[in-house]
Amino acid sequence: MQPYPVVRSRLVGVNIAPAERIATGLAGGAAIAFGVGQRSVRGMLLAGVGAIAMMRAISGRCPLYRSRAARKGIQVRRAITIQCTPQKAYEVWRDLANLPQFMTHVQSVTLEEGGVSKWVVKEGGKELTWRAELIEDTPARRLRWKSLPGGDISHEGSIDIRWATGDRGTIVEVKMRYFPPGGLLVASALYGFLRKLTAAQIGAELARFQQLIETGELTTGARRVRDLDEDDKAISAQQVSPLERALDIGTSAETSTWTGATNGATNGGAR
Amino acid sequence: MKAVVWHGKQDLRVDNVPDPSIVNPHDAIVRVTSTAICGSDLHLYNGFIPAMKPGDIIGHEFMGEIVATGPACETVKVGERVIVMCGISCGRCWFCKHELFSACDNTNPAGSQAALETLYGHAGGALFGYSHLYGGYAGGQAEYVRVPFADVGCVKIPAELSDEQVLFLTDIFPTGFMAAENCKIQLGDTIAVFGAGPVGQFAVKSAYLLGAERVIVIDAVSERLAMAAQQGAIIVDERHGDVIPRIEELTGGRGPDSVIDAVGLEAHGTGVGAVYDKVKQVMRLETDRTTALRNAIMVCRKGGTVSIPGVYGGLVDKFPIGAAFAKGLSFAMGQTHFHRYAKPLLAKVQAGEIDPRFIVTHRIALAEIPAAYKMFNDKQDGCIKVVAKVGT
Repeated sequence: MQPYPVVRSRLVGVNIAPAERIATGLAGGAAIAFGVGQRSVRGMLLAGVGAIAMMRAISGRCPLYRSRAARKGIQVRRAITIQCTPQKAYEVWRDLANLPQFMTHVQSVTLEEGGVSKWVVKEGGKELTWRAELIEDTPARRLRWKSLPGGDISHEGSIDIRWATGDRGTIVEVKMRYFPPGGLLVASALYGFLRKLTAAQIGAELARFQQLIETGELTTGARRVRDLDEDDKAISAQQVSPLERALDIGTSAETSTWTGATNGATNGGAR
Repeated sequence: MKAVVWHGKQDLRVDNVPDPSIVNPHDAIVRVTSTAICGSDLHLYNGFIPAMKPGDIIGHEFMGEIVATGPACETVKVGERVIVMCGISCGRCWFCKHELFSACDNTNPAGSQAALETLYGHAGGALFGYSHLYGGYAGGQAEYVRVPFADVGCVKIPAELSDEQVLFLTDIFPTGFMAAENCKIQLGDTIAVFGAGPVGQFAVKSAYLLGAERVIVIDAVSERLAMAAQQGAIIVDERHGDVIPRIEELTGGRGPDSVIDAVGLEAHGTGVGAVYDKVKQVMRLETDRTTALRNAIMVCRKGGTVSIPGVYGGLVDKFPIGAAFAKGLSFAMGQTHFHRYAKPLLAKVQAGEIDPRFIVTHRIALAEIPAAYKMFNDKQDGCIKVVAKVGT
């Protein structure tokens, strides 16, 4: 369940391919030489254009590409293969009440009039809300949604569902495109970080989605029910740096006495 | 309850900690009656496994009595005497359905999965008491253990068998057995086993059970070699110089048909290669020492199998891939699919084909476990396998 290979961003750093840089440089050089040779106003203008092309070739950074990339937002794709039918995967995802179970940072999803869903998410102690509308709903095949203007997060996404080969089950692929507050041009330095964060978050959500469908419970290393909250916090926070945060998932050291078979059993139940 | 708690490198203590509870519907709570120290626990003790956290309860070879079950448990019942597989498997994912239990998709929580994916590309299943890379589950060197997916991981034990007869079915016996099975033993085969620790000993036993003609065992600890010899193995003492020429001689210059590396990442080894590995490991340039594996590759016959039950965790260099290619070797390795072997091997124990008690050298109480780690690590007092009685 690896994130798909990162296509080098047009947003940060050098964003022109080597071949294009060489071609631009050659064209720019030719324009300068020809323009200066003309010894006319038009010639000088041509030489000016050539100089701009030359600069673009040398720096390797194109502001036009950059702003065009910013309009595309942060894009993430992740997929998982689950032992169930496409219909089952579709039904579990389509039922909004299920979503907060495996999207642990989602506090609630509620349905409003006209098929609009209202999302409340807790991220780093801050509550974020937005409304989203379903723009495609093909049973057992695809869901696409888009946030409505005016929310805290602007994004669009889809899940594609299809049979895997042989007996491997069903592939669920999530595609997300998301626009951070303030615009990506402002946040371009954080592009890689934000993309990783989003990919890790979706990866963890898909892993829990699989756990829920295949086993009916959410896996945890917690030793006791009372350790769960801490555990969940650690899990949702780990998306910043998986390996480091993995160190912090665990049990607290308070004292309590084990209350035996009957009491222990009543504590059960999927969270 | 009392439990063996990891506080840092070579710092284990028996602490009073809160008792576990049922957390998920498929959980059970097991009251431990016997637990053992595994060779792989020494990797934790020596700080070679990342993502350990002070406060973690360790230990993964344990058995006992079911004292509580979650609402979704169907086969395990309170009061039953069970052994608990040291790997945790859900029994429902594609990998479990294909008996690749240690590759379980679901038992590692999302956080540990992400970390393992970063390290290894994909995440396998969880283990009891074996770091937060493997789920952060509390281990079995304790009075009580929360056992997730108890229906899948617990095997009921008949009353006539003692704890010591069945305890090793949780880990080292299946591990030695799978290592031998991976050798695809044919009539007349000679199998070489590097490392005469507990897994090596069970590999010797299993190789003979599976029809090997001869088993050669390589180690540098006298009592381990003696135990292997008692099992009918031909022994090669590493302290008497380069082992490869001697194994060649024993196999008519042909090399063993398959070789088992039951040593893993803390190989002691001898010679230039061993010093090189030790220096690099200490300098954190290389995580695993591979003397045993290099020798295994060099000595194995053309077209043979190198089977690796020994644990590796990270990166190695000077890995003789050219030799492996030139000789057309096969490799078979990985965490044992414990659940696949427990019941068939239990049947062999019941039938009297094997008595796993031969391996036990030390019997102690829970409180003595930290001291026993030191003894086991330093190979003092002829220590090969330590079993702790827990509770009454």
